[in-house]
Amino acid sequence: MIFRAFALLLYIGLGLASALAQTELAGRLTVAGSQPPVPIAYARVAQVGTATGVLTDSAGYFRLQLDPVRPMALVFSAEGFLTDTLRFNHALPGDHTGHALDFQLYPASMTRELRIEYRRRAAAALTTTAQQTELITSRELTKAACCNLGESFETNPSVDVNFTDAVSGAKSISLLGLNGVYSPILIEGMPLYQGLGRTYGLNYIPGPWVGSIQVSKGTGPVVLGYESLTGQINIALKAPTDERTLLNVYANDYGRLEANLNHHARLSPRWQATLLAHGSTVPGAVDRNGDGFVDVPLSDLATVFTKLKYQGEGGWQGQLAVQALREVRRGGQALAYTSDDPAVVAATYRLRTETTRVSYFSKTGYVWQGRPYQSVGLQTGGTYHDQTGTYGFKTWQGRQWRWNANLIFESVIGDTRHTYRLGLAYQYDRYQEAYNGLDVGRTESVPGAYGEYTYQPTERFSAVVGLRADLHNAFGAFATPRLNLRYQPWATTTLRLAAGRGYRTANVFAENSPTLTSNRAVVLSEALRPEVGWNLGGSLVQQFTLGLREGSLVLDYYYTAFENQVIVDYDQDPQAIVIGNLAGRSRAHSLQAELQWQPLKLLEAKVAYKLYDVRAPFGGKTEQVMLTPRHRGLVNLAYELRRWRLDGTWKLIGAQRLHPFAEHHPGFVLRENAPGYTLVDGQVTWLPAERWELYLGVENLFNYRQPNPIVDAEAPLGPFFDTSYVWGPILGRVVYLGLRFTVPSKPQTNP
Amino acid sequence: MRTLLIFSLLVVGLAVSSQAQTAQVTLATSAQCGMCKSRLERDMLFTPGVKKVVLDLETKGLTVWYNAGKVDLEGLRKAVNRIGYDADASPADPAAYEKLPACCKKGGMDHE
Repeated sequence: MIFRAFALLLYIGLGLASALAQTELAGRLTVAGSQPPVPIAYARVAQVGTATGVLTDSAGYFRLQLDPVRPMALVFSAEGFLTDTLRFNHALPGDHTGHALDFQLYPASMTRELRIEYRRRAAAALTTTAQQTELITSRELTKAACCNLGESFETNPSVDVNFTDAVSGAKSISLLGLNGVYSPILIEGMPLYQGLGRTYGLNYIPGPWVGSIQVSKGTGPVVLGYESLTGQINIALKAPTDERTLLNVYANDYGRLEANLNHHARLSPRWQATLLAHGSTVPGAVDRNGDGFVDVPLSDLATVFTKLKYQGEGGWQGQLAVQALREVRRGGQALAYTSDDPAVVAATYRLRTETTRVSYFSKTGYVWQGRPYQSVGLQTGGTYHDQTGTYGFKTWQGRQWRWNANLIFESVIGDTRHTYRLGLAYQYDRYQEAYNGLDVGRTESVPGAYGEYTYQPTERFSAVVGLRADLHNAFGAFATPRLNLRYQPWATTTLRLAAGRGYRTANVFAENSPTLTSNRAVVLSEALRPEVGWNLGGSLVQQFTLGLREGSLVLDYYYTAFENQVIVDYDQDPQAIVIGNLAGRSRAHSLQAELQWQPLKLLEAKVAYKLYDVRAPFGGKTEQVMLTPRHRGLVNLAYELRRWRLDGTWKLIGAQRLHPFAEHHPGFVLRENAPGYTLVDGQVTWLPAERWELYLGVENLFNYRQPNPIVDAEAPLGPFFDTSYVWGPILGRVVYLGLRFTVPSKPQTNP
Repeated sequence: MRTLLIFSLLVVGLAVSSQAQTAQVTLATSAQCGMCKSRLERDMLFTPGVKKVVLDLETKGLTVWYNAGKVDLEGLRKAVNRIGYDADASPADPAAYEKLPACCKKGGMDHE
C-alpha cells in the first residue's frame, strides 16, 4: 500500500496527472525481420507487474490499458516465439489513436534448441507442447546419483527400469507398461541407439552427460520417425549454458569406480565446442546372494562424446557430434574370476561381451533472411555397432551399420496460426548377425516422406496433424498418421489427446537377452513381420496453489492395440522361448496419477500411482505380460537446506506374473507370481562451498533381494538353467559416495 | 481411508494456518540478473518466518510473504543485505557483495 502510494506520488510529480485516467496503448506485433510484416496472432501483451494482459487479434493488433502505478514496461509473449520486454522512460509512447507501437518478436525456432529456463521445481509437466511431455532437469537427475541413463529415471514415475535377465546386467526401460523398444531413445532428437545398441544402450549414456530428459507419452510428431508407439525419450546432453567444466568421481561399496569430465569452450563468437568423457570399471567379482554367480558383471567402459556447433552469418547454423565407445563385460560364475586353476575356470559358465561403437550426427539449418519463420534443415546420423558375446555355450555376434537422413522444411501459411513442416527421410540398416553360428542378418532400406500441419488459433489451443508414408524394402509401403490436440480451458488446466500409429521391425536377440543367457532353446516359429500398433490416449495437467505454494496434478490414460507384435513366449514350453507373430489380441491399458506439491517450505513432494493392464497371448491364453506388475507406486521427497539437500524415494512394485512352470522344475522354489515389494533409496548432498558438491547415498536401503534370481544356478550347463525369472533386485543394498566440481558457465551476454 | 482423511485435513490445515497471519511486502533491491533471482528466492527462504519470495527482475522488487510474528521488515532487509544486495535504503553487506558472481554485481549486466 505504501509502495503504491509512493509510486502514485511519483507519478503525479512527473506531471502526467492529466492522464490519470488510465492510458490506452495500441500497437501491432509482427514477426521480426519479416517482409512484408507477418502478424503474430493471439500473442499475450501485458504490463509488467499485472497478472492479466490482452491478446493480439488475428492481424496482430492490440489495445492495452496501462496502469500508471505499475512499471512502464510491457512483456510480449507468444507460443513459438522468444518472450521479449519493452521498457520505456517516463513519457508514454504513442497516443490514444491508431497503432503507434510496432513491436517484433523472434521465433523460438531460430535457436533450434529447446530453451530450458531455470525452474525451482525440479521436474515439471510442460504445458505448451502438444504431446504430453515431462521434463527431467539436471537438478532432478542429481537426486539419485545416477551412473547412467538407466538410473536417471529413479525418481521419475512414468519410466520403469527393469533387468532383462539375471546374469548380463543389461537393463531395459518400459513406458506405458510396454517394453521400451516401442519408445525410441533419441539423443538430441537423433535415433542413434535404435537397433543393436538397445541392449546395453542405457549404460552408454553416463548420467553426468545428461542435461535434461524429455519423456513424451503417446505418439508424437512424424518428423521424429515412424517407430514411436508409446512415446519417445529425448536426451539433451550438457551444453555450454549448463556449465563450463564438470568433474565428477563416484565409488560404491561393490567396487564400481567412475570418473566423468565435461568441458565446454567458446572457440570464437561463432564456434562452440563440447567434450564429454567417461570411464568406469567394476573390477572385482561380487556374489552377495551366494548363488555362485556374480551379481553385477565385471566391466570396463570408456566413452567420449564431442560436439562442434556453428552459428553462422546470414541464417546458417550447423553442428556435428561424434560418440566413440568401447566396453568389455564379464559375468557368470564368480569362480571364473577368483580361481587360479585353469581347469576350474574352463568348467565354469562365463559371459563375455565386447562392444565397439562409433556414432555421429550432424545438423545443418538455414533460416530465410527476412522470413525467420521459414527454415530448412538437414539432419544425418550414423552408427557402427560391433558386439561379440559368449554366454556359456551360446554365442552371438552382431554388427550394425545404420545411416539416416532427414530433410525438413518449415514455414507458415499466411500467419503463424498456420504452420507446417514437410520432409523427406531415409533410413538404412544393415545387420550382420550370427546366433550360435547361424546367420540371422538382414538389410533394411526405408525411404519416406511426411507432412505435418499445426493449427493454433489461440494460445490456448493447438492441433498437430501429421501423415507419413514410408517404403520398406522387405515389407512394402506403410502409412503413419498422427494427431495431437492440446486445449487449455483455463491458464492452470491443460488437456491433451494423442492418437497415432507406430511401426518397427524387431531385433529378437538384442531385445530379449534371455535368448542368449538362458539355456532355453530359441524357436523361431515363422518369418517375423513388422510390429504395428495404434495408440490412443489423453491427459490432464492441473496446476494449483495451496496456501502460498504451487503444485500440480497429472492424470493420464493411454491405450495401445497391436495389429502385429512379435510375441516372445516363455509360457508354451519350459525349455524353449517361442518367438512368432501375434495370433490373437495384444492390448495395453495404462493409467497414471501424479501429484506434486510443497507440503512445507523447501520440501517438494511427489506421489504417483500407476495401473498397467497389459495382455497378450502366451501359451494359448491371453495373460498379463510376464514381469509386468499391475500396480506401481512412487513417493519422492526432496528437502533443501542452505548447504544440504536430502532426497528420499519410496517405490512400490506390485505382484508380477511369472512363467507357470513350477512343476517342470523339480526341486526349485518357483511361484506363479512374484510377490509385491517396496524399495527405499536415499541421498544426502552436501555443498561445502560454491562449485563443490559431495553426495552420499544408498540404494535399496532395506536390502531387499530376490531369493533365487537364477533357476538351477548349480548346473549352468544343464537343461533347466534359466535367467529369465528376474523380478527384483539381485544385488541388495548399495552405498555410494561421489563428488562433483562444477565451474559455472559465463552468463550469456546479448550481442 | 481414515489415514487419507486425516492426511487431507492436515494438508488443508497447514495451508489455512500458513495463510492466516501472512504479511506481504515488496522491497526495492539491487538485483541484476537471473542468477540474482534464483539466489535471492532460494536464500531468503532460509530466513525464519519467510514463506514465499518472488523477485520481479524488471522492477528489482522483491515481494516477500512472511509471518509478521517471527520477522519484521527490518529483519527482512537485513536478510537481503546478508545475501549481498541492497534492500530499500539499507546497503548490502560488503563481504557478501564481494562474493557475488560478476554478473550479479551492480552494473554487471551492462555490456555497452
